[in-house]
Amino acid sequence: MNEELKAPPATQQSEENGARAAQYRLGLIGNANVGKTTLFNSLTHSNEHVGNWHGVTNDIKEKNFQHRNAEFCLADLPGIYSLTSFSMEEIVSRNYLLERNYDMIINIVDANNLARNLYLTMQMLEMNVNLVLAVNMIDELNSFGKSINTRHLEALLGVPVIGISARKHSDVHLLMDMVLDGLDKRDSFQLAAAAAVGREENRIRYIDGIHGHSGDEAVSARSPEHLEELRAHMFAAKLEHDMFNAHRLPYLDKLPVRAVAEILRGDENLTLPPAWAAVKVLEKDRDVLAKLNLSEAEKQKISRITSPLGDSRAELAKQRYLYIDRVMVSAYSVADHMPRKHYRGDRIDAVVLNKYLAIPMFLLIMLAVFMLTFGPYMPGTLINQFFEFLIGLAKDNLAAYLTGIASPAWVSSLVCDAVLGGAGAVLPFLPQIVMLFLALSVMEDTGYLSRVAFTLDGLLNKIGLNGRSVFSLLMGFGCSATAIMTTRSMEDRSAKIKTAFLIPYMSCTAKMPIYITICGAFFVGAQPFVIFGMYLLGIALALAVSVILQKTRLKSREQSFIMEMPPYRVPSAARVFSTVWTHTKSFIIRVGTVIFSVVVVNWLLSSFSWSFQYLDSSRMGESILASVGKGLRYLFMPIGLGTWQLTVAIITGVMGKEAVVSTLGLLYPMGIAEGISSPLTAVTLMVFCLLYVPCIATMVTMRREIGGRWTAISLLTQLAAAYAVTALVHWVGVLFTVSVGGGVGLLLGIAVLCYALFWFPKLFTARGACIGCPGGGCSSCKGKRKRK
Amino acid sequence: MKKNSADRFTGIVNLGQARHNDVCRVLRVTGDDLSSTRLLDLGFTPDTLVRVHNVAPLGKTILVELRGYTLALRRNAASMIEVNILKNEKPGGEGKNE
Repeated sequence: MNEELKAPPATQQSEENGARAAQYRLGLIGNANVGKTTLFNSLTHSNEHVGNWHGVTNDIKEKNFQHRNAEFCLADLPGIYSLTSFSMEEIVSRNYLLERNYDMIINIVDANNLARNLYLTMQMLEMNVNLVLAVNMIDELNSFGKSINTRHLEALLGVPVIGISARKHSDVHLLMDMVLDGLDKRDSFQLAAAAAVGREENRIRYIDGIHGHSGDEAVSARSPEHLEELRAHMFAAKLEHDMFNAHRLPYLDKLPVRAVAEILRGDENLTLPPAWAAVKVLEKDRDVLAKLNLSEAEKQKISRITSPLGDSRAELAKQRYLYIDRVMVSAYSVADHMPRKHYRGDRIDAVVLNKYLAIPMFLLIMLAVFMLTFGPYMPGTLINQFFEFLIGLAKDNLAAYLTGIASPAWVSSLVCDAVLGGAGAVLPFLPQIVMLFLALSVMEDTGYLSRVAFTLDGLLNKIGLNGRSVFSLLMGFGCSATAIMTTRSMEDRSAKIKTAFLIPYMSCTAKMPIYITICGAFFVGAQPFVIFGMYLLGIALALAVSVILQKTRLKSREQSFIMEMPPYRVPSAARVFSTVWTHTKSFIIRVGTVIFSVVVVNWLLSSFSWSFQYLDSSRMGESILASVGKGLRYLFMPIGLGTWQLTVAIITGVMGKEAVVSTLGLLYPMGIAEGISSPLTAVTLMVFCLLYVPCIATMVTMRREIGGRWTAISLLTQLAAAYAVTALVHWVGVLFTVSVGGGVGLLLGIAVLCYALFWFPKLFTARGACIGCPGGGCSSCKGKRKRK
Repeated sequence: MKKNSADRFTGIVNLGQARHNDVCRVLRVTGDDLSSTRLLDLGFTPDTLVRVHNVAPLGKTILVELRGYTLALRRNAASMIEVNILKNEKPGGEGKNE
């Protein structure tokens, strides 16, 4: 208790009139998908990504803000269901709570799912956490004809309760008032307690002073028995305080918490609150048990106490829920004339989750999204064309103007060819990128993406992934780097690595300009289908790679997939807009920085020869860049991309895939159609760009998430896949142009080869592995396989 | 393994064996590992009513409703939950599982 009291009184009473000097630290805790980040954004006026999906936040994010002259630092913690040590997020949040480096916790709960949400609240109350309960989405609940009596809840739980709607920003300021109120109370309590402790110390000193001379009595008062008694007394008081003073949790009386806590007390160096440790012992929490390091005798005593309960974990959970149910009965009311809560959702689910319709419908929706984004006469394309027209106009006029004022040729070349022709070639794709992100975030926000995850889970299970991967993979269509970050919330490490492996095969928005530019030049009218084909090719390769990975060390066991299904929600315009804006901003920044510098460097290198002589575009072949590209182009010769321009474009693409388009725009000033001679080369280039290594940002993120070794392996796999598939496309294409029969023959040959490659390891492991081994994953067969 | 329709409503089965729209009462969660703790945390405590809301196309994953919310579960996790099947009821009926 001393430690708690020792915490400096956060506010100086003397400063009441001026701004408070101290900063309060608040923690935001709640279940997954209850709107923590929405509340976080609403309180701190920031723009973190939110989604109708769990696990969007996977790290502690902190931000400062002010409320009524008080400074706050709010920590957004990952969503958790319980304070066990099941996943990384739970451990993060639990340690945060245990370290007590906060002044107050805002426990945000979903009004529509109060019972399950209160379970976490109960666990925090058991820990004696100083908290305020924010019942979120109270507006949604009310619209279903239900209501929560917050006063009642307050009385029952013994903590301040307030109904808010983080989404509509309603009553959020009242929540903060409540927090401030609670903090003030705590501060004055702490001051009083500190004063009391001070008085007590003085008294002891005083007594010591008196008895110091006479001796006898003081010595007897410090005899070991007396000390022991005193300690027991102190412990009881602490326990009482921990368990019952702050919050009333009557269900704990039904369990032998006190008895277990008495046993734990024997531990001299018990750092955890004893009542909570006792609860965790009943819960058989591994972490806490390891920390307690109980002796055999203690273990026996505990098991004697808990044995009448049967499974003490189940009993604890049951008692918590029974208590919650009682709380719910008195605090929750339903108007009887209103429709049933899930009625609307049930109707939609019957169609969306239909056994036969679900997957075709998903594909159809994706195709519709693509039509909307890439189709001719669709908003995305139209705005794109308008932008291109503007840039073309600017280019022509500027060129004319620059020649008019007789500026040197290199200035005109830099402005028109490099800046407008290169970086400007990418910018018009903004509307399409916006459209795609818009579609993705609407799908995410409505809760449809979760349904897709559920639908595809069985399918993905076959290749060692789970429904959670779907989310990350779909995010991969937006931006690979962000998508890889979302894998952090995955519990199974091998599934996580595998998902991160596959994400780069999902064609990200940065590759989109490549497709659109090339398709615009070669496949007029068929753009949406060709582009959709590219995306499908990426998915197909991802599936193939994951099937292969299943045969390696990354083979995952059957996992348990447990995921909450969010209710359908009408997407909030503000939220969708903020997601789209974040990505738009990052796209513009990327074009302005990375792509721009790549283009300028490329221009420099392509406009000057080794002897630093300026060359105009017709003599580009003599430039530094050309000679470097000519040296390296042999690498790409076997896959039909052996011109120095393409070589340079591909290499610059590593900085950011948009750079491919910019570089091509710069190096083929007469247009891409002229530079890339045949549709076949165009397709080959698209395929190669789809598959080869992702941009640097993605690589860095990947390294952070799954480690350097796996990143390296992933990059090598991608290069190999890109090379192999592109070579295949190229040579099949070439053969087809020579003779159709030859092409078909080659395809057949490759099919047979692939089959043999898949079949061969099977034969191999069947011999090597122990026969009848379920799933072929036991330690003995692994050893055997390695030895071979 | 397949239980005929009359049998289904008498004996103890696991939730993984339940069918679409079955309403079940939880008896206990078997197992001693973290996933069973997780199931308890999520509210599969004895006497809770659970309805099978949906079955995914490949049948490996089920969607269940309990305590007023919906949860996706793989059959292997669901098979850790022992239940009694009470009845088979379309969602149009009264919402008894709150």
